[in-house]
Amino acid sequence: MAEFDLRRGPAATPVEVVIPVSVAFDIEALFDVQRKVFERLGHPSCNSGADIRFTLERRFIVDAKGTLRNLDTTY
Amino acid sequence: MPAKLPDLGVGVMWFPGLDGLIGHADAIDFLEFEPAVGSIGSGHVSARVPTSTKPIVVHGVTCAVGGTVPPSPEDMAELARVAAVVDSPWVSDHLSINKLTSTGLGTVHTGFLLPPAQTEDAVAVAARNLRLLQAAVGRPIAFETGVNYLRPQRGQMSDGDFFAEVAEEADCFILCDLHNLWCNERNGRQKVLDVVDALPLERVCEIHLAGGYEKHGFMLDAHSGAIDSELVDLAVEVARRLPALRAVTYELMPDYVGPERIDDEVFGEQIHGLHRVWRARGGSPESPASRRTGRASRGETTSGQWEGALASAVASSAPTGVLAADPAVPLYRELIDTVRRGNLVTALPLSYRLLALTFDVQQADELIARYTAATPPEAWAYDEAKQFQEFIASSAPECPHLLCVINFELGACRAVLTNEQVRVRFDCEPAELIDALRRGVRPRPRAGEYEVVIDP
Repeated sequence: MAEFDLRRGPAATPVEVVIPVSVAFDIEALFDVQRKVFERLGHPSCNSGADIRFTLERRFIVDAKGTLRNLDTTY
Repeated sequence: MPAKLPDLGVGVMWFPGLDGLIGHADAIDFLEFEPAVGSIGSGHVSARVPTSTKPIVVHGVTCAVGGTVPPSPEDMAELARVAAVVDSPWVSDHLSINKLTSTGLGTVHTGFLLPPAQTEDAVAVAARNLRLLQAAVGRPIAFETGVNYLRPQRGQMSDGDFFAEVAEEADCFILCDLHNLWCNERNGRQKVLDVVDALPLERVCEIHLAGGYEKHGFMLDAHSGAIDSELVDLAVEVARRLPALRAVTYELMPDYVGPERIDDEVFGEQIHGLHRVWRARGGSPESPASRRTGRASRGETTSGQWEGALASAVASSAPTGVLAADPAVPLYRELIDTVRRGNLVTALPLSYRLLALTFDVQQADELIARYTAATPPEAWAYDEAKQFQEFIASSAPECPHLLCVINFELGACRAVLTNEQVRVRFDCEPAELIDALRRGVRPRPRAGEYEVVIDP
């Protein structure tokens, strides 16, 4: 939707992770993580209610009974 | 009277990801933009600015005008810069307190927008801040009528009288957040229509609408979903009285967008409701002064005394003062805590996962509780995360690789903030560590010396 395209500034550039070639390293995996982080970073907006970001992250880790999950999904 | 403003119509608060939701672009006349939401940390150039052929109006959160600590020159300059980039027809921020002066700590962030005293002294403080902001931004200014979970204070002005006096003293516009006022009414403060009756209606240029929910017996301004139909009807009634209304805006937190929350269909219904409000605008205001509830009680509490009482109520381990017994104090403490935890997991999602996967989840939560009890809130996720790193470095919990992961996540932020390369040392194989955390699995990486170079 062209009306709402984003103008990308410097901070929107994906962070590159440079490592020795000899190390078997999943660069794309790190890219994915940081892309997600930069999508969400920033000053919390002006809502005056409960912030649910921690609850959402906690749900990723534990199930409804409070026990640890063993997930195999991407971030 | 301030200058005449252009009609904007129906708009929505922009956030990253909104683009994918909007299937109703033709029904949206403008976007409202909070520059801080697109930034990573203080002084950082906004990462993303929505671009559109439609108007964009800037709504700040860093330059709240309700406290004795005025908005910083840096924050005002950033607001002015973004307003100039998008040619915002006016700029608004909150009639709230976001910074306090604390004995021994200097200026500290509150971690949450707190209500000012409603006294003559507070009117003067807010008007001074609004004039500062006006001078810095060089555009018409409006303040947002805030939510206030505290009980009405004896000897202070009513909500409506306070808003009216601030607007007239500062000679500025009013952003009438009807969801805030509706929450206030439902939580025992002045009725919405009585507040509106007290306002100089020719100064009300914008209405905010949002959804919320109840928690601990309080209606929260959570921006959490659909607008209550009762509130839409009330907004229509209010809009009929507003001769200078220029914009009606829907506020929604991105965390509530998605299937089984606010999907495209529900979003469209909200926009339809906003158009009902917009079409109802107009009418001749009655004389504002004739509708006031009376200003005999102007309050003797100074803003400094009020902020001291607020600080004690929401931050002290043993609250004292006039607000200590207010039923909303535990709520404010919880809300501040949730914002801080939200900032931590926003900047350090993998670090939190490592804590939770290494310890018992309760122990991980208790560790964060010890951190929040020992340190003041920071306004920005990056700064909160940096403070947490220092806490972890000094408290040294037995959590292998924790500092590596924190340093990695902070390093990535720093690379963006400084536009410089950052190197992070790992005491294990980084890919195995990070990949396990991405999947929510407790990591068991091979030991070794590694260095990850992060380029901005």
